[in-house]
Amino acid sequence: MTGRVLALWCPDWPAVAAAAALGPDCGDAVAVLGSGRVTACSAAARRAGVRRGMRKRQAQSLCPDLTVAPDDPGRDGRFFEPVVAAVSAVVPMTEVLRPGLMVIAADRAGRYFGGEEELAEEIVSAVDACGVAGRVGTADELFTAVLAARTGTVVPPGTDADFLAGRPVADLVVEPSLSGPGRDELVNLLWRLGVRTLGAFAALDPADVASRFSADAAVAHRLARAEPGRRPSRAPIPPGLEVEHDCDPPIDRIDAAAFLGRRLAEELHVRLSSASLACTRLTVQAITERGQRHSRTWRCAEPLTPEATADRVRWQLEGWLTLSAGTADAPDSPIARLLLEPVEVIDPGALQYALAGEGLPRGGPGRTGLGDPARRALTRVQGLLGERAVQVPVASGGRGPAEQVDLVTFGDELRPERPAGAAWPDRIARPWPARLLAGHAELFDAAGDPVRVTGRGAFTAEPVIVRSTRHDYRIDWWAGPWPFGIDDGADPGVRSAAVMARTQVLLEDSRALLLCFRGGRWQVEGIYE
Amino acid sequence: MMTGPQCPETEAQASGREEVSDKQMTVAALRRKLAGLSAGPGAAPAVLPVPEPIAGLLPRRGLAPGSVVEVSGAASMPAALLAAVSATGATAALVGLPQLNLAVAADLGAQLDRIAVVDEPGVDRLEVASVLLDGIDLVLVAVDSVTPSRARVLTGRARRQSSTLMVVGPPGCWPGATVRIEAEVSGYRHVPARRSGYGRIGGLEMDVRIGGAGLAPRSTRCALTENDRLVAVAAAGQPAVRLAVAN
Repeated sequence: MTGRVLALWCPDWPAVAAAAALGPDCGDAVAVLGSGRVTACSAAARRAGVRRGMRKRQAQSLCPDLTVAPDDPGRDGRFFEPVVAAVSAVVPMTEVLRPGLMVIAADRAGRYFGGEEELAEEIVSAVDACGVAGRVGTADELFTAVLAARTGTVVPPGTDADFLAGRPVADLVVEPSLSGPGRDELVNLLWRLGVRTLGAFAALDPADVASRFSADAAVAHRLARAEPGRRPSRAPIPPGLEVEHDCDPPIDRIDAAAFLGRRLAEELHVRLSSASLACTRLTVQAITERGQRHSRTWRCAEPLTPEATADRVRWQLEGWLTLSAGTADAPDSPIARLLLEPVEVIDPGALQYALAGEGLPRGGPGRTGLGDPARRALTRVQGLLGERAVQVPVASGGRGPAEQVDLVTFGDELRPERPAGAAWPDRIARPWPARLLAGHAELFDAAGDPVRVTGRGAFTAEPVIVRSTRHDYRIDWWAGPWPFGIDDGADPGVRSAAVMARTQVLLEDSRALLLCFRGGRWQVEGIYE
Repeated sequence: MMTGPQCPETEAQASGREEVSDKQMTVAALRRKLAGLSAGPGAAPAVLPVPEPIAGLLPRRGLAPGSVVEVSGAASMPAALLAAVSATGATAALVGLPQLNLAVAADLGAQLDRIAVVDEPGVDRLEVASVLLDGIDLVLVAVDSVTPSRARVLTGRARRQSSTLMVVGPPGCWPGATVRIEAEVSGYRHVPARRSGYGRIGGLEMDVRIGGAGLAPRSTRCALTENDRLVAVAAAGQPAVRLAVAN
């Protein structure tokens, strides 16, 4: 069951993004400041002695030509977008942990490219083409892969624990997107207790860890033991959680998109909290007026807050609307619809929600044989295409081949238009044509005159030629006509116009058609095939 | 005198055999129970069944969940496959196939309440199909052509969700399909006889060719016969195999 995970890490991403935003006139040494302290710096700055957590003055004293930029997560996300797009061109399914770090399920993609090394090479070259340096690590577990990416190693299958054993315990906090609040204190405490490596931490009894430390410590302990930390949720996601918004007027400006994203995030979290759920993976989808879609899946260690959700929507849309202008992936028209869809939710309370079947047409008049997962999928399609787009067939009655089954909107009462149990004496005999058509046709006799059906239910002459879609076909065999009543809607003055009849013809190219004569005209109703 | 010692021995043997048969019966009963448990009401079977004449040509006698099946040619073939699948309680959805006559499927035994229809799937029918693969056992989608990268994504999606994607389109429209089924009408059956202005069409015969990745091409001839209220697909020349009785 072990799946391989590949992590792509772009070192010092905030500094790289800041340098890209500042343009070519900034030097090699770049530092990003948040709350007055350095949060990220470029490799050149690090060589000069700049470290994370330094004050601005101290950093500038060590490295006089240091360019300082303020912390801006939006900028990070915007400049990471082309990298995501480049990697998505190699492997379609990617997950972004934070700007600068993304993970890919590597087992199938690795098989496709012929090995994990080959896959890593593909991804690194795709990222290089964007002008960004990236490192790739592969391992069994997500946490191990992220650590392995920092050194650019491939951890062989089943040896995650060995790889982690030698790492310092501070590695638990090295990746902020994978560490919860209070992880710093935990690492500090472990250090003071004499636990210096992840191996030593992993050697502790899980029960002891769980009973003596915080809940986050138990999570950290699982990470250190290379146990599946957060498996992809197999529990069904209750329907009706997605938030969808039709933008009117359509959006083509970033500030409007960000504003809308914040509102939708609030709405999503109201829905999530009313279902006592929290979202750890979210797909944000934007659909333009012409139907172009842009979708990204975001994953985070802690359940998403409304603010975090809004940020992710903004990052994605900013990246899409601005940076990719002029490329093939650029939006072709303003955004008409936004969809926030939780992909992974946590909390066992979810089960209650699923049992209640919130938002699903079930029971009552619309009961069908479709089970819960099927209804969930169909409801999602209704969310995509509109309610009337999904229909269910119900046996009906009638004389023609298309009248035997009625389509009823999914969720409505299953009532056929005509009673199925009635006799229908002039119904055409089985088998029905398997392909239904609705095209005009003309019938001609040997002299080239059109053939019609008389008031007495017979052909005016023997049909020889069928003309359909501007082609003439010779008739090898025909049967009928079989009248099936009088057209009530026809002009009462013209008796022959009221005749309705069907006939079967076998064409020279050995296709058998069912033709219908109604209102004085022939129609192709179906093909026997 | 001689029968004395023999009798207890035979009795012992008999009781031993009884024990064995008891044990076997218990095991068999438990197996049945287990099968009932794992199948459950309405649960999809391990392999989606197909009409009897085709089953013999397919590995595992059915459509493997998570595979992609390409069906081209005569529309009776997707209808018959849809009927066979939905008759066993599996769910099916049709995306962009308004021309397929569900009455034919119903006559072949399809349970209409297990079928959903999306006649107008909008600009991206593959997107709709991929959403439906999440919860529906068999998704039929009409496709003219598809790029290999898109096909790969859908194939992976089907495999991950263990649902079967059935692509209805021209031959070879889906790169890398697991099974390709091509049906072509080879002739019609006229009831009671073929004479212009007389009788009617009472059935048709199809040449069915099956191929695909790792499958040696093979073919058979099927007949869609008409029998008052019963329509069956049967290998030509053999007695008609009853698929299901309508109503």
